[in-house]
Amino acid sequence: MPDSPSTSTPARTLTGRSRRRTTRPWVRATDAIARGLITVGGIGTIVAVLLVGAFLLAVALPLFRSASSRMERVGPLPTAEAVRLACLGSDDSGLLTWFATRGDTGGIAGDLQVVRIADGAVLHARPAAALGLEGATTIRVTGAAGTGAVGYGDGTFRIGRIGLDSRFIPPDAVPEAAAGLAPGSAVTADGETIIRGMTGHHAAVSLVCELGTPSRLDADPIVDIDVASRPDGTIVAALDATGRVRVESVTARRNLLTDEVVTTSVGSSLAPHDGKRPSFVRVSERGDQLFVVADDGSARRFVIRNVESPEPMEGFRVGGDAETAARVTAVERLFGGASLAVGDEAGVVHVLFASRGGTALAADGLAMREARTFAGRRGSAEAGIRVIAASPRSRLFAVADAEGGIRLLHSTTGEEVLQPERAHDVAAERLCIAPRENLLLAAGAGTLAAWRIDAGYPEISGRTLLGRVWYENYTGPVHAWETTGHESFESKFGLVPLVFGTIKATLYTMLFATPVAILAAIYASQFMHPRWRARIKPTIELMAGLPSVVLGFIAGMVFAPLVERGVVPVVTGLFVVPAVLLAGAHLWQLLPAGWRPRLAPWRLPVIGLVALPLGCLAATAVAPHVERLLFDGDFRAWLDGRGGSGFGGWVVALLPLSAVAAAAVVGRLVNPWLRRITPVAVTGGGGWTTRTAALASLVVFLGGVAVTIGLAAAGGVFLDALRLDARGGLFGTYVQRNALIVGLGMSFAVIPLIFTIADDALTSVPDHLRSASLGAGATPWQTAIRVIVPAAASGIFSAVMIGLGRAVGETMIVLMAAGNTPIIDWNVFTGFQTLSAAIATELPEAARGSAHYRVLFLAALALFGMTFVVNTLAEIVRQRFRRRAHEL
Amino acid sequence: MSSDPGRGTVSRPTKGGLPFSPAAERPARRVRSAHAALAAHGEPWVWLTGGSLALAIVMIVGLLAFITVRGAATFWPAPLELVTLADGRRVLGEVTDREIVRGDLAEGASPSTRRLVRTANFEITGRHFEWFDDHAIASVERPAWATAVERLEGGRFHGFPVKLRHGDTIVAEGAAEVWAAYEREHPAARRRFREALAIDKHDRGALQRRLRQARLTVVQAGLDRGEDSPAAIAAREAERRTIAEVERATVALDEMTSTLRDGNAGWLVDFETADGAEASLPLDGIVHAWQPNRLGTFGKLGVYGARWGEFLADDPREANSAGGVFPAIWGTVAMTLIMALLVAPFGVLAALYLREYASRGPITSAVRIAINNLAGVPSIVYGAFGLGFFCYGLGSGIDDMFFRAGLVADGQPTFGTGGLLWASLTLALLTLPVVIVATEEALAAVPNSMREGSYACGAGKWQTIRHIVLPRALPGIMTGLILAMARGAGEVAPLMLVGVKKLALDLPIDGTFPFVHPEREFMHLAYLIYDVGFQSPNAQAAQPMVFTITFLLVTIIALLNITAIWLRARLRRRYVAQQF
Repeated sequence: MPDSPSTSTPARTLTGRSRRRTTRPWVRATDAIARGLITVGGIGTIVAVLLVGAFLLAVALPLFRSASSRMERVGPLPTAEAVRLACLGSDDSGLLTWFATRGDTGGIAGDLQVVRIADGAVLHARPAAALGLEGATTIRVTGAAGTGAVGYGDGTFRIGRIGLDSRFIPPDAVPEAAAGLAPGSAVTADGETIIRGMTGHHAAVSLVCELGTPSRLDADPIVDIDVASRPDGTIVAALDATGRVRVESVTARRNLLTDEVVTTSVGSSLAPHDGKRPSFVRVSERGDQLFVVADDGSARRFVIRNVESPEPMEGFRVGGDAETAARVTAVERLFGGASLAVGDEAGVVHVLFASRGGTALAADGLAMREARTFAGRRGSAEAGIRVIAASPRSRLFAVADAEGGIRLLHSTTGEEVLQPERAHDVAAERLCIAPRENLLLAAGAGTLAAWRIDAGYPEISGRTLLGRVWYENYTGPVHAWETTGHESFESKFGLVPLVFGTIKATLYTMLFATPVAILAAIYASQFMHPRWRARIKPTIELMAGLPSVVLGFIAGMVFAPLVERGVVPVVTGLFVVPAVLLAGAHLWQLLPAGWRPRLAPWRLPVIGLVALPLGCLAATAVAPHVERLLFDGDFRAWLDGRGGSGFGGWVVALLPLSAVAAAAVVGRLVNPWLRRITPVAVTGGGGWTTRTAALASLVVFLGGVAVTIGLAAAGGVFLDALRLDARGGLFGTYVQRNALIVGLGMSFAVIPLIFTIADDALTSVPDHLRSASLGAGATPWQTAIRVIVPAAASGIFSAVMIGLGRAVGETMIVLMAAGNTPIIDWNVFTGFQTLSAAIATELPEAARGSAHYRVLFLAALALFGMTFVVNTLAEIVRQRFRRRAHEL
Repeated sequence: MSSDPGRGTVSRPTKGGLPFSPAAERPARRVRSAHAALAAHGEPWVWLTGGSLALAIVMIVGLLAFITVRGAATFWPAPLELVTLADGRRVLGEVTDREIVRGDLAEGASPSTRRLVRTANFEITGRHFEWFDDHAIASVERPAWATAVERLEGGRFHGFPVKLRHGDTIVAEGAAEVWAAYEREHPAARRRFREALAIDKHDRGALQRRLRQARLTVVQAGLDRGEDSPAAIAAREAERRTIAEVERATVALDEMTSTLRDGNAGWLVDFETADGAEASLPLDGIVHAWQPNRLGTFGKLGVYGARWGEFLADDPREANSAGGVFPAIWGTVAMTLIMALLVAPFGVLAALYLREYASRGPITSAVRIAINNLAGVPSIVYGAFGLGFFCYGLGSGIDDMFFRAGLVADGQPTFGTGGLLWASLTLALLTLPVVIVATEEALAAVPNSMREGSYACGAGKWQTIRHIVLPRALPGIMTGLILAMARGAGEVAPLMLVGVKKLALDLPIDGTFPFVHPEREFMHLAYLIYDVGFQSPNAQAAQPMVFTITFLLVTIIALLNITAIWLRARLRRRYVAQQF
């Protein structure tokens, strides 16, 4: 601010008037206010805009937060005399635990107790005998529904509901005793346990154990049992000490008159196979398969859709050969029901599931394969696995080993999620992950330990996002993006197919758009009258302003059906139109030398109105013949692999290469040779006239075309003879919305962008360069290609980069014209899904804060990063170009 | 750069110039061979560049022409052709497409032509369009009384009027009389229908809103003061009164609408289709009916104008594939204007700061590069940001503080989901870099001598900016703003995440207090293109509609662009005059 000396006395001026030398206070005040406002507002706005990236990062970052655990409590079990646990469970809120203890004789004895985890106080206890658990040898409780099964020492087993039942209490019905309860605490009142969850709602929790009528296997004690729910009833499989297995389907019907529950059960028994006595029995979660595992690692799979006649499917082994395999010590089915986690004496956990791949398939076309192997715990890799517990809501599971180590593993990632702080030195006997995955319980050696856990997003890791993952029931590791399905669906968050789709869209767009835009800019800036240019440039810029949804609609609804009907003309057009243009140029050269300068302003109309339509007509005319010669008369059938050989595909793929080769031969060998043999036209002497030279050049061009086709054909024959086929790679089955359509549609958006910036770069090359070049005798073409384009190269490069940035992030066009199938395939004629399209379609449906939501934000961040890098590069290059252009 | 006057003459091709003409006077001079001279001109390569430019021009002109022709033609009453097939079947419809069917070339079959006829009468034929091979057609005629009917439900109907009935009495019989009677009775029937519809939509909607408001007051009072507080009891009392009032008002409205609907009941127009089937259409279910074969050019223009009027002023019908797009136009305009109001001050502030106040240095230029880059960040990224930050972050916060009642009462977030405000904010953020860059360039273009002159006259910095710099930069700023609006009006990907709805007849700005409803979801023309074009159950029948919407949108955006250019030129003239 120019400040006048404010304290000086008014000086006498020429006119005799004294000038005021001080700044008025209000001017100073407004200045200060404006400065403050503009600085704050300006910096605020800039920061707000820059915050976009930071916010995306903040949303995506929790994905990579490692899991954490905090030991809540470790203390002795309240039951002093009995230290062995038969089962362990938790309620929905993770505030309470319940367990049953084993007596000295092996059966369930004592009380079933509900314990407050915070301090280990017993809130509720019911004697096992009163619940019908007397003499029980094994209890199994699955899932959130509380479906459970109990096996007894006398060879009987029963199914029913076992566990903690929660009942919501409305605010006005909270009993006195629980009135002042803090959130996250529990109290016993009137023989009922009242808890107040973290959200502040009250619930009454009670221990339920309602068992149905017993079924009998034999007289030997039941050692293992499993249940699963199926629409037609509950499936239960029990295994006794002699190795016999019984599978039953139990349906319960409540008699409406007597209110009695009548259960009917049908089933069958299986004898041990080749004298091997199994020790574990598991039913798949859908209740259609039965797994019987012996402790030497041999296992069998049955299909039990009809429980009365289980069909043996296959025998398989867990953990390698019979000689090397360690003894199996624990078997658990994981959430979703398709995978079995098997722990062995060597401390290794194997995850197996059935898939279609592999060599030895069973009758149902599946084979159990070991997809993941978790090595033993760090430090004590040899400690055998004692128990495995699966989470009821994800593919997370906990394992405990013989030395008291506990780990949380995840079956999708195949990685260890967490090792909580050690609580035991001896093996935990029972493990439990609470229904909300917020609590891990371990009991053993008379102590009960509880950890608050925060598993984070265990299904997400660098490997699942970017690597190949062997998903359940897949034949092998794949890149996959599949995020919606039923409740126990294994979400596939592989970003690679989306990144691939983005790259594919960008690549095919840029392949078409870059040459067209740059060549057009060269013509517009170098060979066009400025008056015409001033009209054409805004027209093309108008195209840049067209909403992408319009381009997407035109591409998806107009181009796609049109191109589908005429693929071959479009493909041939890519080669025939440039060839016709070149031919037109050679014919133009035949015009008398005096005419050409005069006709120069008409060149573009001739090209646009004659040569281009002629090229299109020629392409349409040639297309049926091309189709007959190369593609066996039917291009679509050829693409599908029906008929024809690989020859045609190779010819098309090799044509651009051979054209470049032919051009190189003409430019490097033929033209210099012609120059040598044609005598220099000295005054009046012999030598070629311009017309002769033009004729020669036409002949050379035709020869070049012939050489191009010949080279491509030779290459095609050669590669076809090698039994190579472009189908399956560059070409393949035609889908209506494909990369070709996207490339075409998106080039409407990208061409004007590149054109405008490249044109600006070309015109801003200083005029004295052009004048000097022309003055030195160079032709306009020579000036353009040897002086102007190199000088503007960095500007053109930045134009291409900005076009690239637009193509990478374009949403609506790919959404409407790419078919949105996340597959990895270079085929020009198949669809794909890009990062942007996945965000647009899936983000509104993704639950806020879920892994899916955060992965989509990660995708947005990736897009942001990609475009930011590309644009920064372009900007830096452009600024350097500007400086250089100034220096020139 | 482009206006450099000297360049054109230099770059104009100068073929056949001195270097290669035989120069008799200077025999010593080395002259290139004719072949080399020809090659130096690179004619083939020039043709390739020219071909590219021609292709680009053909692409844009072709695209615009295509959209214009298809979009503008939708409402033109095409002639109805009565096609009699060789097998005796008769079909009445508009021919919408013709194509050549290539037979199998190997068999040498000659190509035949076929035509796509919009047969309408979906409930009778089960299809909207049908292809007919030309050689299977026995005759084609254009009967004068062939009538096209745009119905409220069920799409288009083509047939011949036979009778106009009111209950059991036949008002008119025979095509000419029916038509005369139709033209007499139809406006009144439509008016009654519209009145009833307006009552249903506005008055009943207002009652519903009153009920919900009363309910929310009760819940809010309960949340704030406790269920048993006097305020809550009073609110419950008020709710009971409101319910009673609403019930009374509903009865009154029912009476009004049933009177109106009774007035329309029984009015039927009997049509005969080309096949001879009979169909009765209720008079008030006919939106438009016209007889294209009877109409002269002016008559056609009248029908054309009327259908455009309906398109621009009405609510959409039949899953947006028919009727008008008024809510979408309104939503687009409202959102774009609010966006402009938001983006203008902040963009100008940021640019003023960067250009006039910030010290020149590496940080400022890094910020400048970053802002330039943000203009190139994909719009969908801003959409994700808007959803996560505005809707889920800010919106949920606002809901928790002020609109708990809505969450508790029916689990509906008020601001915690997409809405006009969030959409405008998201787009403002998206276009902010554009405005900042444009404003900065405009500020930079103001010569420093003017600033210095102002300072020399004793003006302060703010006075200089306010009176010297900003007026001179205004054309540039306005241009940037209008271009930002053009971009905002056509952007749809981020809007899909932050508040655009398939159908939202409640306008975000309307006559009910508080007039602007920033939390409401809204319709948008660009989204309508995506929705009708891709999600519509009958894409083929909806396609003309999509073309019309596209035409409308492109026209709006082109108008905005042209306004920007015009404004720039005009303001430049005005302020250039002030130059020294």
